[in-house]
Amino acid sequence: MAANPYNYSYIFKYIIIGDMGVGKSCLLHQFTEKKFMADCPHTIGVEFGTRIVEVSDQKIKLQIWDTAGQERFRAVTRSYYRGAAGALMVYDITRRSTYNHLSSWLTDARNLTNPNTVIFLIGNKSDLDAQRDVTREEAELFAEENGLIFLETSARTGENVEEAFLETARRIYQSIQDGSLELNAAESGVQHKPSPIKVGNEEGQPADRNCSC
Amino acid sequence: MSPKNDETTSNPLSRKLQKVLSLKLDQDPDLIVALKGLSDVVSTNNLRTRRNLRGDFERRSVNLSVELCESFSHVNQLVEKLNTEITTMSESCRVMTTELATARTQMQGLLEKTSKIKRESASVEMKKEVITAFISRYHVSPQQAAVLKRSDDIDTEFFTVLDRVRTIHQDCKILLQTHQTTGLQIMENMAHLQEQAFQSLFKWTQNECRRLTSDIPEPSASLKQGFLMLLDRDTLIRASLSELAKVRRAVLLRMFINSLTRGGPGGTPKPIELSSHDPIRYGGDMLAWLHQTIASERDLLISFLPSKETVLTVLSEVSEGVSRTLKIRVEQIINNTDDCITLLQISNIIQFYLSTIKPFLSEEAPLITLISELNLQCRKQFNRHFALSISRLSDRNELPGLDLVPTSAFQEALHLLKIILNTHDVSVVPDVSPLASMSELLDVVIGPILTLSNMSACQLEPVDNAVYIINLVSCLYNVLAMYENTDKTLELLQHKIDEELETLTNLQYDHMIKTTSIPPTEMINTERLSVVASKLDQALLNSEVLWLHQCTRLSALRHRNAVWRGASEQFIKVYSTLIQSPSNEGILLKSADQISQLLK
Ligand SMILES: Nc1nc2c(ncn2[C@@H]2O[C@H](COP(=O)(O)OP(=O)(O)OP(=O)(O)O)[C@@H](O)[C@H]2O)c(=O)[nH]1
Ligand SMILES: [Mg+2]
Repeated sequence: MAANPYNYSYIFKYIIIGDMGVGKSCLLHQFTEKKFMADCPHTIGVEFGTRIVEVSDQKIKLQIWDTAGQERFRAVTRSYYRGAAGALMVYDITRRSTYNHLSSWLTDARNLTNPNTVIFLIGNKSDLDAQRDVTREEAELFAEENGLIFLETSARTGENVEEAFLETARRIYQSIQDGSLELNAAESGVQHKPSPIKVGNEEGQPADRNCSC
Repeated sequence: MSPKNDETTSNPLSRKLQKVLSLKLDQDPDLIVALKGLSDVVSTNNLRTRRNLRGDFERRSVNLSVELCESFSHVNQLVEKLNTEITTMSESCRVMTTELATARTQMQGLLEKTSKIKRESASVEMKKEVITAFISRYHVSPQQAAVLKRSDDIDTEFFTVLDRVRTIHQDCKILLQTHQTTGLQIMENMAHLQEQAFQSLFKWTQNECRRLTSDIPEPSASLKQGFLMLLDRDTLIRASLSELAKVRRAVLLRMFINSLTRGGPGGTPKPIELSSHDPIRYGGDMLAWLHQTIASERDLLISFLPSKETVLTVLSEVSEGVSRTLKIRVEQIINNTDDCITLLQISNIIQFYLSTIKPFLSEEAPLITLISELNLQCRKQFNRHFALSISRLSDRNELPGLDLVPTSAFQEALHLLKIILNTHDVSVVPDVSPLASMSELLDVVIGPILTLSNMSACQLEPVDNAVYIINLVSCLYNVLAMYENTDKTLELLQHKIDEELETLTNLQYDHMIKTTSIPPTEMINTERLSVVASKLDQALLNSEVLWLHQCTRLSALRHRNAVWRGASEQFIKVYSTLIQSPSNEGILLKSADQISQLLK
């Protein structure tokens, strides 16, 4: 069955933040296109990507906003945190400075998003282990102290990229199930589409997977 | 024995005897049978029986004859009966023969009829096939036609039938070549059905569009196909698209106002208006919200609109819905801001969103026009407030001190300029040429600053004026030189500096002439030359007197050198003419080279 690009029941809004050059755009590209971009230009302002994933038998459209890491864009990119259900905060394991700046990114993330926003810490470029500048243990500790989920990824090999995006979606979905995230409010970063109006004897319409029997 | 024979023959008795004697009775089978039969009849051999024998036999014979007669009469009866029957049969046969003959003639006709019918049947069969084929190609059943009249529920069946009607209409062109009347009639029918279908579809589409009132609505599965079909009818598609735009426009506006004034559920995220005290954040949040919402809206429209153009058209119209709300608020921000740096930052942000949102909408989309206008307005406000800041500085009427360094007012103006250039440098306008935008900015800011410097310098003596202006413009030059895309303005400033340096060089030269009392050429005489010689000697002992003391206030060493070099060269040229003058009779002893060395 070919995936219908318009057949989904939720929309989750994500934002990707972190210093310039840590690989935010590459992560997004790897996730949406399953390809690595070796020469990725700096992002100007914000870019936008989508992909439909399946979590707990639910089709979810992820609407991902990839922000520019360059300092001069901060005033602009800060406006995009609003209403994000998930925030992927990325540093580069081969550049300590990008790790050191995390607390500033985290402050922004906490101040500008909802309390329920799932913040995921990503140490990218795990393929460059030889040039490692930040140990995994250290980052794990930081994540634990700040209540973040943490994974090391490689946008180049694709390692853990799916996991990071999907785990974020799972946590958000969990919050919806818990009732801690309010649905259908345009700004909660999650939206539930009303179930499709069934039309006549539409052929090839898949059995409704939404019904929880 | 012959004689004997003769005898027997001659005697009948003997012959008889002879014959009896010659009878071999035991060998005569007839006799035996007869005798046997006789023994059956005559039980006792006595005279009576022997005498009655003949009578018995005759009686017996008569009986037998009677019996035979009777039997034959019976047979005769039967034969007669048979005869009658045979006659009847013969009669029947004759009749049958006649009938058969008749039947045969009739049969002939029948056979002919049958084969005729067979031929007809084949042709009818053929016609039937043709008609079936025709119907399958050119006929729409009443049930199918009814499908096209439904406007409450449109599904794939509708489109299948409509497609068929369209195909038939097309195919009629082939039909017209051979069956014009039929072809025309069918065409007319199909056109009629199509018209009906389009009307139903149009009504249905309108209703479907009116249903799309939630933030993220779920269009029905047939809507895409419906729009695709309507593409064939210019007026219908336009009306449908504008209905859609009308509905979504209202939704977008509702969402925008909601985000502005109510925010998310339970107040998170906060209403955008809550940050209205921070103009940059406020404006940025509104425009970022629009960018994201327009992106989502485009996703939605792409899911059921038939072409890129239609998406653009609708989205442009939909986005216009928020224009007024946005305009009022951004204008408020602009008008309430009097800090020119903030205004520049706001303008940068507006420009950023202008180029970010532009690709989603058509070139002439009202929202795009509005955002560019807001940017212009903001720029104007910036220009105004920048000029105001500068004029406020110039209102201080601050005069330069004796040191001829830039006044504090000018320093402040330069400081402001630096901040402006820094702000511009980090501006985030992706698709504007950096050179053009810098030139545009410099065109605005350099003028007032130069005016300011001219105004503070104009009350000075010419020498002071020149030195002061050179110092100011150099400062300005040095600031601009740290930024990219300032070459044109730097050139202009350099030109101004050069001009002032030339003026100053001339003044310096005049001063040297005056100090050494060198007379105009036509007034040269020995007496005057003697004065020059003595003054020159004195001056060379204490070269400072040759210097305009203000020149030491030139902040750049290279400018000081330039002035000195330029003035000295001119001076030496004049000195050379003095040496060579006829009046110089051993009065001026030093050569031009010597003087040149001494002046260095
Ligand atoms: N080896 C390796 N290189 C990576 C990886 N991810 C990104 N890169 C490289 O790192 C550089 C920067 O990646 P981007 O994705 O552009 O970084 P960014 O975070 O989007 O940068 P800004 O847009 O400026 O904020 C690119 O040259 C990538 O090829 C990775 O996982 N492994
Ligand atoms: Mg990027």
